[in-house]
Amino acid sequence: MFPIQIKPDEAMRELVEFNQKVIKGIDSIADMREIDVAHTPKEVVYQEDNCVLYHYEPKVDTPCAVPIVIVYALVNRPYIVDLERDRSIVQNLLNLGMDIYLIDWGYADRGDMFLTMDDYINGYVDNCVNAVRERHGLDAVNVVGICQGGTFSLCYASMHPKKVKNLITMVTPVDFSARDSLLNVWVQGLDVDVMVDTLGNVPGDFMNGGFLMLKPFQLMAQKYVGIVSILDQQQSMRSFLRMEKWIFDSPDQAGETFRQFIKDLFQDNKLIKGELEIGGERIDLGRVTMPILNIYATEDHLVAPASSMVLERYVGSKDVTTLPFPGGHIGIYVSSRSQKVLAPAIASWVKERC
Amino acid sequence: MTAEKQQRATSGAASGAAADWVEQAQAMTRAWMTAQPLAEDTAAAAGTLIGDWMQQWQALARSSLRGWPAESEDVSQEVATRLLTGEHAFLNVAQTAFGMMSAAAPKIDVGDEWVELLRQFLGQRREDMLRGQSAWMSPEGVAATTGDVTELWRLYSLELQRFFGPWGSAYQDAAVNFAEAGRGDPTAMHKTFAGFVDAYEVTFGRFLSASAVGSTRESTEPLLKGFDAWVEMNRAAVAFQTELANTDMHAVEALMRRLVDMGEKGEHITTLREFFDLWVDNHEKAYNELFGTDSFATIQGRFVNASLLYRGRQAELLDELMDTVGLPGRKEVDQIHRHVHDLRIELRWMKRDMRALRRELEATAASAGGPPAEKPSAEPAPSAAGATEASAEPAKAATSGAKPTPGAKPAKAATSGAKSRRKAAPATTRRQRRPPATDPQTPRP
Repeated sequence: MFPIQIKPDEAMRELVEFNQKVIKGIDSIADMREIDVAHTPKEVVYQEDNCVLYHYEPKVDTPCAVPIVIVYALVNRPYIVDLERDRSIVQNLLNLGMDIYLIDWGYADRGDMFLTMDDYINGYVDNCVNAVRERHGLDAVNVVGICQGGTFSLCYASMHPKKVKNLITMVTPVDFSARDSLLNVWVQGLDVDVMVDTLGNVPGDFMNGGFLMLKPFQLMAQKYVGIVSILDQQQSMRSFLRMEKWIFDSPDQAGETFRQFIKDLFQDNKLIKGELEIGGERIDLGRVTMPILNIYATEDHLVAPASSMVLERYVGSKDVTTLPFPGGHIGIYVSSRSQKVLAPAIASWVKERC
Repeated sequence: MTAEKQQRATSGAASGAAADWVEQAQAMTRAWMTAQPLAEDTAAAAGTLIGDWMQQWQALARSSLRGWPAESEDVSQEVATRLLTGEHAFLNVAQTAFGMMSAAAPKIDVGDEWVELLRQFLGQRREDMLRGQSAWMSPEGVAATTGDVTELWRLYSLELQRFFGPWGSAYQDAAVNFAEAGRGDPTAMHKTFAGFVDAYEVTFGRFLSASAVGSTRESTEPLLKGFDAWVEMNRAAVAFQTELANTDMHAVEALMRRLVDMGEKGEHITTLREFFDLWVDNHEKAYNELFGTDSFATIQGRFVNASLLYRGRQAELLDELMDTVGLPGRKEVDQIHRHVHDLRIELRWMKRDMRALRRELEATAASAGGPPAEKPSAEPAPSAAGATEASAEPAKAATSGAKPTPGAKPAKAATSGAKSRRKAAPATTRRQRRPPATDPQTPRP
């Protein structure tokens, strides 16, 4: 039997209804002024160039003695960990007694095009960690590395193991040869030298275009057809707009860092081969001996689970906990499941080791 | 009307335009609803009506975005634009659904085989797509693929005309001259280069007096490189677009198979939204299969690389022009950035060294029972173990590159008498200072 049993009159009504919702929805979106994000109170405790270290106001009288420093990726902005009041890993961790710092890389400008991975890791990250160590009179702090920030954190922990008490990596690419992620496949055809030599910094829009191409029909069409049903719900639409704001708020990538990250990691997979050099120093994951909590997302289309899961094989730590999170690369920060599961898992794991 | 709406209604022409648009859009939809019963009987009529209405509606909606309230965040307007794009896709798919229904439905009633009819419909679509190849392939792409040098030069000159403005005539002449050169005229190439020299003379009188450039091979080489890069970019674009077009056809075939499968299982699609979701899932799967192949990575990489290379060639040409009038081009500005960066990094390490030395001085003074250093550290030092590591890696211990730290806690005295092994070093890069950590016998500076 012919499977398309759409009656023309009903289809026309469906279209009219759909269009009415779009009209009202656009009207309602136009009414929305500020799309506010990152509500949790915080203060600047260190600043260097465009890099800012924030300290979140603790929520308990006696927070965990060893604070957490969050190292986010250079791609997109770090406020995804504190997107809105009910969807905030930071808020949840604070409520569970954690003391939290966050490194915000800011927006790389033309003057940052020569910043290298060495500058980021042995410069900014190290300075931020030192600032926290000194504020608390500690030898070592807990480091949470997210996505590319996780890879940076692994490199940092390898070079400065005494400054990292516990390491938590979230959706972190480790083995870049995993073919489950299209990004890993696509970068093989790119001439990164031409790209960086031509562009200087790699524009955030270029990066976003690549991310959208991973699922073009879902991300550029179906998603917006899907939201028609919530267009008249102010609260839901605000949440949607916050997420849209974050997705398309993409800083440019410092050219030299991008060059090394793509060539050495994506194309040559040097991290797990023990061939990656940063600032003249070889990154030996065997020197990462502190306890590690490695969290990966089972449905991650950007960082394939296979790329993250293998971390245990390469690090020197004898205390590695691998935690699968059922969801995607973004859901791990903002899904309702994440709010219930992730922060408690991190907090209890840290408390056991501090 | 909400307070926000009232505010918007009185906030100027832009807001008024947005409010007007909503009324217009609703009026259009009402009119469409009135016309709709005419199309209720047949899917073909419905498809036509959607097509006409879609064009009017989208044009109105997009023009309305120009009157978007200035107070709204960018993200709101961007989302509205994406919403319209999503709706456009939805309406297009709806048209496809109506097309399928109108192709198959009349024959189904009389017992004909719908699978064959649908296959014919999709086959026709494929034919249309192939016939319309030149529609999605740019003129530059067609010329690049066919190797039509005359046409390529004409198009390239237009491209450069947009890029350089007053230089366009020289490039246009170049197109003619190159064509003549292609037909065997030995003077054509000379005329081409002379044309560029004239352009330089007219617009930048200093050109010929500049020793770095002139009517030499050096001045024409960037142009020829630019042309090569432009041709390669267009060839790569055609290859890329062809790959996507082929995949789209595969996706349509897969959709056909899926519909047949559904028909055999007795599954039905009863709404446009269901059909749209099926269409998206099906296409996403087909494209995902393509995207995961090495061949696609190569084709896509070629396209991206060629586009960037061409852009780089344009920048080189522009740099030359800027140089002739004594203005800094991209290359020169990048060099300045490089110098500033090097200084910035050097400053960071000098601050760290100063901080380590200051600590050492404080520790020495404390162990000798003498007075504290004149300027104590503004920030607390790590505890003993941390200081030990700091002594091993003095360059890593300090944070004095920081701007004021509002939340800083009171400083603690250093508890270690550890000494830095670091000697005063000449101003070199950090890479030169630090030996690789792989050699445990090598003390860190």
